[in-house]
Amino acid sequence: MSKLQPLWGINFSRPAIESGGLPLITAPLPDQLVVPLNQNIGFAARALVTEGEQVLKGQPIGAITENKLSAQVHAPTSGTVTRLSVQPVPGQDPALCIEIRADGGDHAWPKYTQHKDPLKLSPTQLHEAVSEAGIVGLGGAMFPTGAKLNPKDGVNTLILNGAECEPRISCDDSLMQDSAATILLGAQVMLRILAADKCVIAVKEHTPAAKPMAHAIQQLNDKRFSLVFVPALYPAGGERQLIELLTNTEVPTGGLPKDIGVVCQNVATAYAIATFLSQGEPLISRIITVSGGGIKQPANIMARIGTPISKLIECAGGYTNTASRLIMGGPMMGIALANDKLPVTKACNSFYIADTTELSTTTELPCIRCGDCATVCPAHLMPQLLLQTKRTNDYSQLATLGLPDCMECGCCDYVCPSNIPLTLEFISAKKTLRDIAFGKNRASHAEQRFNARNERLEKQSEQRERQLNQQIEALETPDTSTQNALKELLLRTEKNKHKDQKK
Amino acid sequence: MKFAHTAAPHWLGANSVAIMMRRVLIALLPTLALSTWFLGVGILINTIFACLLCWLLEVIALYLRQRPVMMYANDGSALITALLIALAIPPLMPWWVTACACLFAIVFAKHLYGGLGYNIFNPAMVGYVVVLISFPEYLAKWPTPAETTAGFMYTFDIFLHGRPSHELITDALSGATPLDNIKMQLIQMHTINEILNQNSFGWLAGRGWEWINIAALIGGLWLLAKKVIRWQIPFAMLATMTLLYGIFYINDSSTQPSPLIGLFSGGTMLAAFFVATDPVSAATSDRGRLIYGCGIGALCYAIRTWGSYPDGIAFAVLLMNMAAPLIDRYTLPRIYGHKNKP
Amino acid sequence: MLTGIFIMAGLAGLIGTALLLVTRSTQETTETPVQKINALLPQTQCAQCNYPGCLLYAKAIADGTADIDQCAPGGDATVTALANLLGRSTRKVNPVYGKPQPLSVAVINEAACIGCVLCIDICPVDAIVGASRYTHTVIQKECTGCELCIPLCPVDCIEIVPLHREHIP
Repeated sequence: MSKLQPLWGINFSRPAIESGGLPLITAPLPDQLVVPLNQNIGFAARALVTEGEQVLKGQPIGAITENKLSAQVHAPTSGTVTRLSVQPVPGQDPALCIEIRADGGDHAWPKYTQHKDPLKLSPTQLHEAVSEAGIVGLGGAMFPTGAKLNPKDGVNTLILNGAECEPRISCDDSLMQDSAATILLGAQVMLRILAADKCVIAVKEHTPAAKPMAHAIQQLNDKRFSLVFVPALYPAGGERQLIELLTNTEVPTGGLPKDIGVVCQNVATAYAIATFLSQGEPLISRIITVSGGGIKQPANIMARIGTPISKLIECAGGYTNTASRLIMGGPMMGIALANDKLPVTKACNSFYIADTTELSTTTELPCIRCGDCATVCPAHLMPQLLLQTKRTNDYSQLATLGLPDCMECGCCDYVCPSNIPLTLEFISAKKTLRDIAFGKNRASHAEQRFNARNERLEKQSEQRERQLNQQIEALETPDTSTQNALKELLLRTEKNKHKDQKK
Repeated sequence: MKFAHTAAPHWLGANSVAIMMRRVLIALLPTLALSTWFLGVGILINTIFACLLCWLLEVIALYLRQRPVMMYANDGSALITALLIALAIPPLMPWWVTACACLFAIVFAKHLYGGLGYNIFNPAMVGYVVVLISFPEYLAKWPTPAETTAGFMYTFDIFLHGRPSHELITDALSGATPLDNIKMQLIQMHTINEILNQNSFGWLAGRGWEWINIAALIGGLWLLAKKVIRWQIPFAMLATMTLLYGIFYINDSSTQPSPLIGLFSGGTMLAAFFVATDPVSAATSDRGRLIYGCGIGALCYAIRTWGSYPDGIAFAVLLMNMAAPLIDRYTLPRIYGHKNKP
Repeated sequence: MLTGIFIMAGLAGLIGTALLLVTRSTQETTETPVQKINALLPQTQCAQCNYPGCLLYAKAIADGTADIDQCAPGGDATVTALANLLGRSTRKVNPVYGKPQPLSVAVINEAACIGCVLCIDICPVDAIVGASRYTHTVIQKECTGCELCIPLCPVDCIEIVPLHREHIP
């Protein structure tokens, strides 16, 4: 095992380990669940049920929108659909949500088969199963896994990401401690779908999951599998950074990992695939880390999708008096939520409840160009130069300096001695840059159409002129038949005259 | 329960400009102590005067520019400028010369360019160069051994009036730094060995100066360990100087000083760790910093050897300050996922 | 004296050639000024600047007959871009030529449309489809929001709405 030591990133070693040994508990079934239909990148699913309908656990309630990037949604438990309405979704735009009142029986939908040995199925069958189970990337990106596991991409390496990107999150860690063998089964299924010949499992060093995972790989005795420890650096668990660390190649800018023959999947995604195939349960629950100084008993909680966040908080002992932020995700890239009434979605890997001491309120000072931000930037950008360029509104230069490659990881903010909200500036600049590009495209498209129209109008008027000219010409030069007829008439009248004179 | 909405990242590091500046000040203390020990109490008088004046000028400038005075004035950057000026100028100095340096540093080089973070040139070096050119008679005059031990009143007289109330009986060489000495005597066809055997030279370089430089080196290494500065600029600068001194020394060791003399004389170490590394006016990319450091080292050697000033660090730093934006532009690192550099 | 003249003349010639070469090599494009100006305009072809089409306005700017602050759809950003290109001082859009607005498109109320074809004829980018005495509709993707069709509609069934980028494929 090689020692991987990148030059970028931030070492949060202590707080990261702090949440490593959290207990794994199962949340009780709530009475009321709210299932959003847009639990994936791309297009929201189409509702399959109506108000008042009875559903069973695992029954599809949202179907893939045809020919679009989309994922199935299933009923997390059995009960009655009480309402379909547009509601706020954590981390997403508001979308159509299906409210289900649980009947408490948790009766399963009987139509799924439980395969004894899922690896006997053909790759095509397995691929269909992944889409059928509504599986999306569970690391938080929510990319539909069915679309990502495309055998035509020529992928040769599957990277199984068990190295949590952010500090304070340990849901994957606790899953690996609990069900390493199931994860490996899921990975084997993915290898079969992709026809890939290598699977690298990345685990953060010094985490409790390292041992069980290594043990499970040894038990499996599959030569395609290997385990790699990545340093406890943020953001070593980010997809592109992990690929750089493990394969020493970079995903081309604007491209996807498949362009270099790699697919990166979260361990929880592998677990969900294996669970569906062997137990017939689609993606209706996941492990969520609930931690932070604002919570009484931090824990990893197995909860159904659609459970209100407040129920998870109850499970973790409730808020402390100093709780001041509810953050979905980790402390670096997480989204601060306004209230805990929102439902848990497939993207929720963690809720970090910060207390007042963990957050710093500071005032922004001028940049002193210390360059610390450039040192930690995992994309090798120069944030201080980007900031300067952004504040002078030089957007073409921003594109040259690589602003679109910023992954908004927040490392630069963290190290900045002047407390400049760099990430926020870059997010807004990226949006402006996209707006400018959109406007440019729109302008050149409109110009083309305007020119095409002018050309057409010109041609039409030319044609009309030509026709008019022809008519005039025709009038001015009468055709020969008329002339001949006239001549004959003249001749005849002449003859008649002669005849008359002879008479 | 309702929560506030804030943008990511929610954690921020503990680092701050004030902490960085405080660390630099702490790292300068050994140099200050040893300078006072070897060069006399004048250093201390100048330091206290420069610190008070710079801070006052900073407050006035911030007030006139309508900035939050207390927030900026307490970041310590003015004190660093003051300390660097006090360490750069000779200890026997009338107050108006020091005041002139402070005025040009804080008001002209710093605040007229937009304050901390926007100054193109290192303020302390601008202040120093202004007085170096304007008051050559004071700036070239370094204390003789008798003057360093002459006591507080003698020094304070010079500070107040520009000349001592009573003349001291001086022995031998007076009023020049070791670097100056070497230059002068080389012109007088002495060999390096002859010069080094004189009283004003210690075991490594100029007597006293070697210790001051070692103190600066230690302070600098502590800053490196604390990650306040990066290794590229000091390393590149010192390596370039070692290389240049080395080449010429090997070529002709009788008329060229050795690299050790070069590195431990004058303000070499102070410049390498405290002046050239001033982040605001230096290059910021990793390779850029190496080039920037090399430039300072080479220019410094050139001015020391062929120029008319004994030490060329201030000029070297200011010249490279000008080049820093250009260096940055052409040394951008390759971005992740890109084939070529931007 | 003669040597001096030769030296100076030689130097002048040398520096001149060098300058010429540098200017040649740093010229990025062969675009004409009109093309450069036109590239900065939003191409709505709305004629709010009193020129029928963006290209003609660009020509007018290049000739010096029009000012740079006449493009309302482009907004202040376009004025600034033009000012930077032409080395003039920037300013706001002249309110005589309209108020800057966010990107928008025209929408026809299809229930009210009588199929008069007037809007189809005026549309500078052929973004309206339909036939005589049949309902017309606007292709959102093509519409520039130029508002030329608004005053022509005899039943006032066209309105301008802000553009939602997500809805454009």
